[in-house]
Order: sequence, then structure tokens, then C-alpha cells
Amino acid sequence: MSAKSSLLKIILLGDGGVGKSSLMNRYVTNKFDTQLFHTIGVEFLNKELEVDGHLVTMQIWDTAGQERFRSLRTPFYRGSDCCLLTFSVDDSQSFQNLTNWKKEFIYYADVKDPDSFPFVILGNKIDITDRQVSVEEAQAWCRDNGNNPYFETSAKDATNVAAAFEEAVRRVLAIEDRSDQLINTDTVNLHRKPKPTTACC
Amino acid sequence: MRLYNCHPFGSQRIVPTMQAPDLFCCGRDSVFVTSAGGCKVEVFTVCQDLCQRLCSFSTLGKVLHMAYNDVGDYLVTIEEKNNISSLRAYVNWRCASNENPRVSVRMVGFKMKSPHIGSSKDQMEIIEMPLSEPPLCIACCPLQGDLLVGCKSKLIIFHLKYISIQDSLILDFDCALILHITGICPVQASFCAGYIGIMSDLEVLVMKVVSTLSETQLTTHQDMSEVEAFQEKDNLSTSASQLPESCDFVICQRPMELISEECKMCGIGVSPEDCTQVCHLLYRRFAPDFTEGIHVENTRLHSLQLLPMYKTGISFATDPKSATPQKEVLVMFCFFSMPHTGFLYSIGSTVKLLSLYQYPETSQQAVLTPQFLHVITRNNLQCFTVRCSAAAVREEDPYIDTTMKSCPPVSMDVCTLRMQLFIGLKAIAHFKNYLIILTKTNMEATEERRVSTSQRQRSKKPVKNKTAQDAEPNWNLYVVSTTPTVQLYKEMVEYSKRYETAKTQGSIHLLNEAHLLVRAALMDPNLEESLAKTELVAAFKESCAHLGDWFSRLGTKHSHLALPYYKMSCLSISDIINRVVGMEMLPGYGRGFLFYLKHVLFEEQDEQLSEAVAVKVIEIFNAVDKAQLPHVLCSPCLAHVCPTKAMVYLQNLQPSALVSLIKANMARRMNDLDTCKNEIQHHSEMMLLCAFMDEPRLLMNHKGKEVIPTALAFYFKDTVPGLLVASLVALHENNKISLTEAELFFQALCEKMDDEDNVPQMLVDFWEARLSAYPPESVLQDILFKLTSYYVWRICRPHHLCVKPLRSPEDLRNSCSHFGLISPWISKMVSKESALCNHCGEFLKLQSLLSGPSMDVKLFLPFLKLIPEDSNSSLSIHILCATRLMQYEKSIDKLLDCCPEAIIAYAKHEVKEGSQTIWWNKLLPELCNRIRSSQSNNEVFISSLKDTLEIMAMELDTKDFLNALPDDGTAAFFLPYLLNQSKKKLTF
Repeated sequence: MSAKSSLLKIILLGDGGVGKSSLMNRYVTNKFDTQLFHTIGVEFLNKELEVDGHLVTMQIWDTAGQERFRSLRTPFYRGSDCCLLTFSVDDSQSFQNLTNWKKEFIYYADVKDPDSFPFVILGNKIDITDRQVSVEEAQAWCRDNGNNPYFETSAKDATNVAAAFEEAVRRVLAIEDRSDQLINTDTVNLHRKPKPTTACC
Repeated sequence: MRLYNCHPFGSQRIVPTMQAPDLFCCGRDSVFVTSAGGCKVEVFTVCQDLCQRLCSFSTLGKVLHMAYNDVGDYLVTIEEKNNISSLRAYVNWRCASNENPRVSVRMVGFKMKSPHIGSSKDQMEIIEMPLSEPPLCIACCPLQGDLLVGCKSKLIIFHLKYISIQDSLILDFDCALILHITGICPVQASFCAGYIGIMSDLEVLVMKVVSTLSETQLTTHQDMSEVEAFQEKDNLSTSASQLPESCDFVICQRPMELISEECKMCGIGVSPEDCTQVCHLLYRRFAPDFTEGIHVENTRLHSLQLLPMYKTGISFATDPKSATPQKEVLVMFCFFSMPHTGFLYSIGSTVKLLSLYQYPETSQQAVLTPQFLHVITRNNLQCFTVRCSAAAVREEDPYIDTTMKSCPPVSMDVCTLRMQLFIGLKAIAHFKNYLIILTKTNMEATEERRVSTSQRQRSKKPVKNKTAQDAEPNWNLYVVSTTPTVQLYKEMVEYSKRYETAKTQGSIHLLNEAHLLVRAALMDPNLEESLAKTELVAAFKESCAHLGDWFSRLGTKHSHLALPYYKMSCLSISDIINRVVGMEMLPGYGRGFLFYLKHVLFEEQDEQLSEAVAVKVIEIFNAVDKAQLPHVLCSPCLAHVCPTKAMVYLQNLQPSALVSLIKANMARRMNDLDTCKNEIQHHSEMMLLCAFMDEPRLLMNHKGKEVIPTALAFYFKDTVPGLLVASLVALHENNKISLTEAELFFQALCEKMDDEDNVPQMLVDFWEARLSAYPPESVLQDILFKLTSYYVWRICRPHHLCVKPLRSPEDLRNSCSHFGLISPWISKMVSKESALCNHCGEFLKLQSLLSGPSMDVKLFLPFLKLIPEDSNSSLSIHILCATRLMQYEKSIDKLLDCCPEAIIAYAKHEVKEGSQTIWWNKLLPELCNRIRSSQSNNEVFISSLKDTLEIMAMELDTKDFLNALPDDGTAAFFLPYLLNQSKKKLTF
């Protein structure tokens, strides 16, 4: 069996309150709750999806954006397959902090080759009319910082949410070229590795 | 090894997994199964008759190993993702079925500073436990919930703890201990209550970690020298660990077994990071087993397991919040297995190999429970018996293997209760009364079967056949219920009865196995008071009765076991006699039964047999052991025996004092008092005393601490009290009874007569008689104390009811030296008084005792205060004591005041060598003063003065005598003495 598995770990980073949990909830359960609590530490949700005929389990890791929770979240960056850097278009500070988030991720996730690591940038809350960050500004930042894809989303209106997550999966599969190694979870693996197999009669 | 065909396995169900299981584990009420490439855990609830899906959750990587812990209700996994192994604990996993699909993740070591508001109780949590080395194996402690992780060069113990945050308890772990290891790479581990077992392919090491802080734990191990903070020693690791790894040769180490301290030579270094001590218990090394060809997989050890058995009768907290367990480990068992042989060790006060299991085919895996060892081979599930309960009960109960209790021996051969066919067995696990079994048929094998048996339908039987048509999976995960203990017990007993008539070893072996099975079930600390327990206790007693029956028939060296087993059966003697008499086919009785009967009739028993059974007992002994008949008849159990019938049997016996006494007793019961008297008169008192010594039960029976006089004793009290007292003295003298028992005896015997006195006269007679028999010093003082206190008590109540004692003061004085001669001055003092109660003689006896050499007067002084000084008799006691304490002057004053007639007798008798100055320094001036002050009636003083002067004239020389004389006396009075004195001088 391949050392890589069909489990994709996708991590959401960004300032507190930019809507990471809402994006995840919208994508996985297609719900939106205006009264969501702050995330404490780290949580995740699984979402199964079919990509090019293969079943993939997408494990979306939601993190606490507040500075005080840094020590609770950073140990879990390691092993991520893709990082979704998120800001809110009505909060220019959250946009400016993207650089710090990227640095923090690369440092704690121990990414060997940061230039080829798949990041996707999400500008959330486009349902709010009072924007502080323009589309152009955001696209420029993406272009200058590794040429990563940029999505304008609204968890509230479900705008572009699925597209953003699917792009993340596509990026992982494309970059690591692992689609051909995927294991179909419906297939039964009869050769259990740790146990000795006996000869048949 | 014996093989029976019992039915330890009951119904079976299939765990409804959707995909082929990879790994599984179980506990409490659940079975955990990984599938889907090992990234998903499905949980199934197993209870009485169903097995259904409870929930499922995804893991963060592919699960390589997993274990469930009941104490903390957590699942711990070793997972692999991107070639990195991680250790994780899944808690609150039951919430995975809830609506909240979000899973929270945190690092081990909870940070108190972060307010954990969001984490609700209904959310599953994953605890990430980072390690410096990849984890290789895990084990959970079933007692404390702690976790042991084995890595290449260290063992890490995580301590389970609960943190209280905002009224809720959050589970977490502490890294409690790290042990650095060298010379072994653990592939499997077991952990329980501080005991650690680690295993590599061919080596096993069992040790115990002891915190140096708790000294009490240390002492649980006998051999203290084996406790040692183990430092890595270079000279130790000379074996396998230092061999060059790239060697082309297969080097086999010599197999060895090392126990406790010897383990230091095993070449494995264990060094704790803190001051914890590691106590080595067991090491074994095996040579590879190549009987099945050279496949490494077939030659290595498997199924390392530590199994605790707990002290019984200890309650424990069921509250999961309290991490401190109250179950106390009594003995630990350690099992591990080679492909063809299993090894079961007990680790209690000593470490020893209990049993070896020889398997008929290559084993794959095994699980040990307190009752069984279940082993799977490729196509068989085998159920072996174990000796755990036999070993545990011997650790706990020092009275096992006595005449009180018994238990089948630990050394008894183990057997196979059942071999159950299953095709393609792969793995086995156990919890409660369920076995979880994974079968997978090999692909090629399936192909073959398709050709040969393509039409066979899949039946409910465990044998799973795959038909060509259906696409059924070639795997199954079964839940096999084990048969309830009582049911299996009954089957085994029935089974054994088939062998019974042949009296084969198979029969007794199965009975013993059945007994141990029930015993083990009763030792389960989770067994609550319930119908099940009542049933088990009944089965236990029944099994003891069966074993008793078996041994009662034997004539071998084990026949004596009938006694303890019958006792443990709680059956009455009558029941047992009826059982044995009923089933006995041949004339005569088994040695075991006679042994039982003899013992049980000898020991004190509450049970009184009915007349019919009593006669049966006499018949039995008359037939096989006549000499025992007198003793049997003395048993209180035979109180209802028909005296007429008993007499008939007694007539045939060799005459003796004992037989006569029993005859007398039977005659008494028949109201034939003449015969009764005659029988006793046949023998001298000495012979009768010897008979009583042989059978004290003729006179008394014991019931707990009570002493109950027999009817015969009451008869003797009225007819021959002297004999009765003499018998008791003889019994006490020969240590058959204690002083207290004698007291209880007489108190019970005389209760109705002496209502007002708390000490019956007969007891006083006993004490006095006992003094005559010269008891040892400790008893002497005890009796003297009791007697004097009794005398004083009587003296202080002058109007007591008089009872004639057995012995007069005169008798006592003549019989022993403890009673002294009464001085003439005392006689003189009391002669004038109308003697108080001469009949009882307490005054005289007390005076005599105080005058004797044995009585310590100082010990008597507290009683003295109770005696008034209102009569000469009682005053004499005071003066006697003062004199014994050498207080002569005080005594003289008292005598001059109260009884001057006795003063000269006193002085002559008591004032002896060394204290003669009292004559002239005390007595003379006192007499002169009293003569001077009294006007008349001073004749007594004058006569005393004369006597005094006479003595002084004898003792003093002239000058001293002159000086001593008073100045105011008449010369005519004193002159004669002066002259006498001068004459005496001249004669010398």
C-alpha cells in the first residue's frame, strides 16, 4: 500500500473573526450560523468527495485565529496538504496579516519547499457592502506571494465556497500528482500488513 | 493433555461491518473496528442479544495499533501518515454519533490558562501525544487507565488524569515516567498496576515499577534485593544487542529462564529517568521454533498478556471520576506464547511457572481470562482450562489446604474443554463474556473451495463457505458469547458423572476443573450481589459436596480431602451421612468418609443428629472401628442416641473407666441410677480422672466461648462433687481447660443455686483444690488473688448464706504449704470472740493464707482497706498484714489499744532476732505509760510488764538493763528482775 493516503488535510488560517469556521460549516453542512462562538484551539470536520472518480476524504482543520490561542493551534500545522489563508474584505488589518499567517504556517508546518506548497487565498464576507480591501489589491498580493489562486467568498450567501475548497483539493492533487495513487475506500484491502499471512491449503 | 467436548462457547453473532476489518479491539460494551485503509473506526455495541453499529469516526492517519481503555473510556492509536507515526487518544468518542460532527484536537498536557469554553461535553476530542521516537506498541492499564507506550529505546508511561474545568471533568494525560531501555526492541507490551511486560520476537521481560515515595508498595515484594534502580551496565549487554547487525549468519541465543534477581543477567538495560525503582520479575528467551519451516513469522512469540486477579471482598468505586482504584491486585498472571507452546506464570509473592500449554497445531493468537485460555490456530478455536483461581486463592487464604478448606492443586494438569472449528482464524480479543474473532479466508483457498464445494450454502455455523454465485465477503467478524459459568459448570458435572462408575481420573479431573471455574467466577470483583451470585455460590457449595463425595470413597492418600470439601459444602452432617450411606454400593465405607466422620464428630458441633442417624453412626463405627465408639458416643452430635441401643454396643467393648463412665451416662439417661452408681464405683478416682482427661466432653462442651456442662456433670455435682472438682483440677493441671473455662463451667453448673453470690462455692472449692496441686507460679498468684478476694468479700458480709466447703481450713493446711500455721497470738485474739461463721472458715483460711509463704501481702493491701477493724478477728488480719510488712510498733500500739491480752504472745512470736530492741525501746515504755495513766484495771498491763522485764533481763546486760528501767518505779517491783539478771551473768 502507498504511504500516501486518500486523506487530505486542509487547514484554515487567518485572523480571528474573518469567518473560517463559517466557511467550513457552509462547505460541509451547508449551514450558516450568525452566532458562532470563537473557535478554541483546533477542530476539524471530514468531508468526503469524489474527484475524477476517486473518493477523497477531505479533513478540514479549523483553527483559532486569536493570538492567545497560538500555542494550541501551531502543533497541528504539521502534515497539512494545503493551507487556506483567509481574510475578511471588510477588515484591511486581516488582509495585511496574511503575510504573518503564511510565515507562521511555513515555520510550524516545517514545509520543506514553501514555494511549491499549495496555498489558496480566500477573501470572505463579500456580502458586506462596506469593503476595505479591493479585489485588485488582493489579487496583487496573491500574484506577488507565490502566485496562488484567490477566491472571493461569502459563507453567509454560500458564494464561491465550494469552488474554493474544490480548488484546494485540485491543487493538492495536481502538485503532488497523487491522484493515481489514491486508494478507493470502497475497495477491500485483504493483505493486512502488520499480521503474518499463513500459507493456504 | 485431556480433551473434553464441553460447550464453553454459546451463541454467536456477526459484527455488521461494511468493509473488511483491519484491526479490532474491544472493551466495556463496544467493539472497535478499523477499515477503509485503516483511517476510519467503526464502533459496535455488544450486549445480550444484539450487536449493532453505534458510531464511527475518522482517524487522522492509518491506524497501525489501537487499544481501548475502560477506565478512561478512551481509544488510543498508533497512526501513520506521510511516514510519520503518531500517538493519539480519542476521548468522548461516543459523541461521534451526535449531530456535532466537529472534532476538537488538542495537545496532551492541558493548558489551564486557555479558557476552554467552546469545548463542550458532546464533542469528540483527540489528544495528540507527541513523542521523540516513533511509537511501536501500546498497552493500557485496566486498573488505573494509564497508558504505556513502547518505542525503540524507551518506554513511556502516561498517567490518566481528570481536570476539573467549569464543573466538567476533562480527561488528560501526564507523562509520568520514562524508562530507557537497551538490548530489546519491544514489539508488544502489556501494562497493569505498575507491572510492565515487554516482548520482542524471542524475548520476554516482566518488571514492576515502584515509586520510591511509597515504601508500602515496596514491601509487597518479598525479595527486596531485586529492587534496584537499574543503571545501564556495559557488561550486561554482551548478548544479542551487541552482535553486528549486518551479520549473514542466523545466531540463535541459548533459551533461558531467569526469575527475579537473576534477570539482571538478561542483557536488557532498564533505567528510569527519575528515582523510580524497577524490580525485575521474569525474563525468558526462546530459540526460534523451526518446526514449520524457516518463516520468521511462525517462530516468534505472540500474545503477551498480564492478567490481574483481585483481592475478594473489597468494594471499589464505580465512579469513573475517581481515578484512584480500590481494587487491590492479589496476584498477577503473565501469559505469552510460542507457536506451539503457551506459558503461564503467576507473579505473586513468588514468580513461578503455573502451566505449560502444548498446542496440537500452530497457534496464531491467544487470550487469557481468569477462567480460560482461548487459543486460535488456523482453523480451531480452543478453550483450555487455567489454574489462575487455584493460585490466587492460595495467595489470599492461608487456611486453604487445611482440614478447614481445600482447593484443587495448582499443579493439576490443564485440559482442553473444547476445540471449535472455524475456518481462517486470524485474530481474537476478549471482553466480559464475549470473544471477538476475525476470520479471513485466503483468496486462493477460496478459489479452490469454489471448485470443490460450489453448491454449499452459507449456514449459520461458523464454517463460512463461499458460493460461486454470491458475492459474499470472504471475511467475518464474530462475537461469540461464552457460556454462563453455572451452565458450563453443570455440563461438566454431568460429563464427569458419565465416568463416575468407572472411578476414572477423568471424572475427578472434570469435577476439579468445574470447581475452579466457579471459584474464578466468584473472585471477579465486578460480581455484585444478585441472582447470578447466589447461583454461583450454590454451584460452589454443590461442587464442594461432589468433591467431598468423590474423596470420601477413596482409599488413597488424598482421601482426607473429603473433610475440607464436605465442610465447604455447608451440608449438615446428617445430609452427608445420608448421601454417603445412600450411594454406597459395596459393604464398608471409604477411608475418606470415615476420616471425615471421625473428625467432624471430634470437633465441637452444634448439630445434633436425629436418633436414627445417630444409630447409623454407631453402626458404622461398630462395624469398622470399634475402638472409636466411646469417643463417638461422647460427641455432642450424638446427644439423641438411644441409650438402650448404645448400651448394647457398649457391652461388647473392652471394659475401661471411660466405657464405664459412658455406660453410667447412658444409665443416667434411662433413669437407672443404681447401674449408674455401680459403673462409677467399679473404678478408682485416679482411673476416672484419667478417663475424663481422655474425654472432657463427658463433662463439658464448648460453644464458641461458652462452656456448657453436660447432664452428667450436673449429676456429679449432686452426687459426687468431690470427684467433679478433682476432675476439673486434673483437666486444668493437664492443660485441657483454662482457668477461665473452669470458672465458666462452675458458673454455668451452679447458676441456679447461688443466686446471690457471684462466685459459686464449688468454684472456690476448685481454686482451693487447685492450690493443693501446686500450680505454676503464674497460675498460683492468679488463684491466690481470686481466693483472697473471695474470702474478703465473704468476711465483709457477715450475714452471708453459709455453705459447707469441700475442705476445711485444717484440710487445706495439711494438703499444701500455701496455707500457713496460724500464730498463737491470733488464736488468743479471736478466742474471746464468738467465732464468726466457723462453718465456712473464711477467716481462718484467709489468716492461714496470709501466714503462709506464697501470699504476697503487698498485693493484698487493696483488699485490706475493705475489712473493718471492729472485731478482734478482723483486726487480727490488719495486724497480721502490718507484721508481715515488719511494722511491729504499729501492731503493738493496736494490740495494746484493743487486745492487750495478746501482746506478749505477739511479741514473743513475732519480735525476733534483729528487732529485739522493740522490747525495751517500744514495749516497755508503752506499758509503763499505760500503767501510769490508768487508775484501775491494769492487771493485764502489769502482767505484760512482768513478762517484758523477764525477757529484758535475759537479753540485756546489767548496765543496759538498769538504764532501760523507768525512773519512777517501785524498787520492790523491779528488783527481782535485776537480781535474776545478775545471777544469769554470774552463771556464764
